[in-house]
Amino acid sequence: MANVVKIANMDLSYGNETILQDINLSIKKGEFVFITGPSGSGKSTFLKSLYGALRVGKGSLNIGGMELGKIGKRKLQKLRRHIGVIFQDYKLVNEWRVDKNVQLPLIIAGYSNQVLEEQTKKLLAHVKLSHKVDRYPFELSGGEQQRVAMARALSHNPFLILADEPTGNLDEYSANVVWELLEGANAQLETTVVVVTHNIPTHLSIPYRQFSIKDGALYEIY
Amino acid sequence: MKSIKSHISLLLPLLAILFGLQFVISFERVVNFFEQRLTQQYTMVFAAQNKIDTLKVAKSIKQIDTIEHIDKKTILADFSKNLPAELVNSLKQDLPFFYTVKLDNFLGSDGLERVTKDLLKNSDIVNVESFKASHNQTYELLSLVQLAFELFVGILTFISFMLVYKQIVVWELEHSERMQIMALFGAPVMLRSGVLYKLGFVNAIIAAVVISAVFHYAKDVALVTSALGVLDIEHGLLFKMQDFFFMLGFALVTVFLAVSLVIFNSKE
Repeated sequence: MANVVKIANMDLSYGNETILQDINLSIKKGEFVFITGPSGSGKSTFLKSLYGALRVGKGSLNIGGMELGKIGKRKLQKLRRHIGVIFQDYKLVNEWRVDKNVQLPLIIAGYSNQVLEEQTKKLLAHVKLSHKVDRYPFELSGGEQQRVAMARALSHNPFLILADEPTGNLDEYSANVVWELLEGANAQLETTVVVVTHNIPTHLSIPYRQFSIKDGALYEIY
Repeated sequence: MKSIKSHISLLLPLLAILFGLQFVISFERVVNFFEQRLTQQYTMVFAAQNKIDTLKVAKSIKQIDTIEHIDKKTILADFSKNLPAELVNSLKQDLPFFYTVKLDNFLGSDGLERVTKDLLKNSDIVNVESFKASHNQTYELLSLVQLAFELFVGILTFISFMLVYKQIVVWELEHSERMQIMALFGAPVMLRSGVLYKLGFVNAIIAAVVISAVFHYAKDVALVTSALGVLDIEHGLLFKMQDFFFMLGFALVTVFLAVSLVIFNSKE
């Protein structure tokens, strides 16, 4: 099976400070991967590099067949249109209603209004927020906001989902919904999922790989 | 409410900038017209021992528009009534040749002196009268008014640009988070910043229309027409239709630069 993520001898730095060194990793299509590690170890930095928010210092980082160190802004934009990202702080647009937030990747992809409406309806039902379609993010609880962010990340059927501490601030119910959705996307759509987290849930029903970042290096645990 | 406030905070400085710009355009036009008329009314006189080639002299000094010979009969017309004919004939023979000079633009005292010197370089020309004193008064007054006006417009424009800059900073704060989120999902620049361009362009059009309407109306207001009438200046000079397009272009470019600055500063 094809590699969705292929990293070889990669270094990541912030300014002059090297955060991660000599990272090697291959993730195949349909795999579910956890990246764990202590606070400040560079997990989020690593995830940022996967969606091109942080440029590779040395080595190679290939996502979906594109070499991130070599592509320009336009190609990076195109690549991001096929990736779903979930953040610990949700990153919803506060001036937009829930439905428009969910539709963002579809608007960028240029889908018709009919598709936008149908997809929003389906996804909000999926995350159990159909009744909050016309609300603004600041009117929702943290758990609800993260479920909206989940719906947004899944709306355009991405080949890769990147999640940075997706359940870090959530109550148990919302956290379970998030894990169910990630498992569902992985199992039913063969979407590759990379999750950065402190705690791996114990009730997962799918196979997964686990890596840990410590002292600037990445180790495979499981 | 927030949207109206956002519009007004850009519209006001844009109105101030365009108001200053249109004022400059109108004022320059009126001053140019006034200068042209003063130039037409102003005449230098010189005397020459021999008849000179007026075209040749006029061509050799670039500030001179035309030189015309004054017929000696005209000069002696008043005397010839009271003096015997022989005396008049003798005077006619002894009198030098007089010429009037029209300039092609409005000169200050330095300029007049330069023209006088250039004329005196011609060995046939013996005396030049530029009526400098009265001419200079008008010139200095006009220059003073122009300077005061330019200072006023300069300060107004500076303050307006500061207000536009302030609005840019507000926009950066208001929109940068949204634009960053959109960038994370691969939105192209035009989609991310479309709202800002739309907001800016709408304001630019409103500002250009408002200022054009104000000046179009002002040129027909009795107070303005009578003030310009005193100076014998046509009130239509205050606003012409092409001014609207110039202001619109200026406002659109200003807004385009402002929005582009926000986008440029927005981190992905």
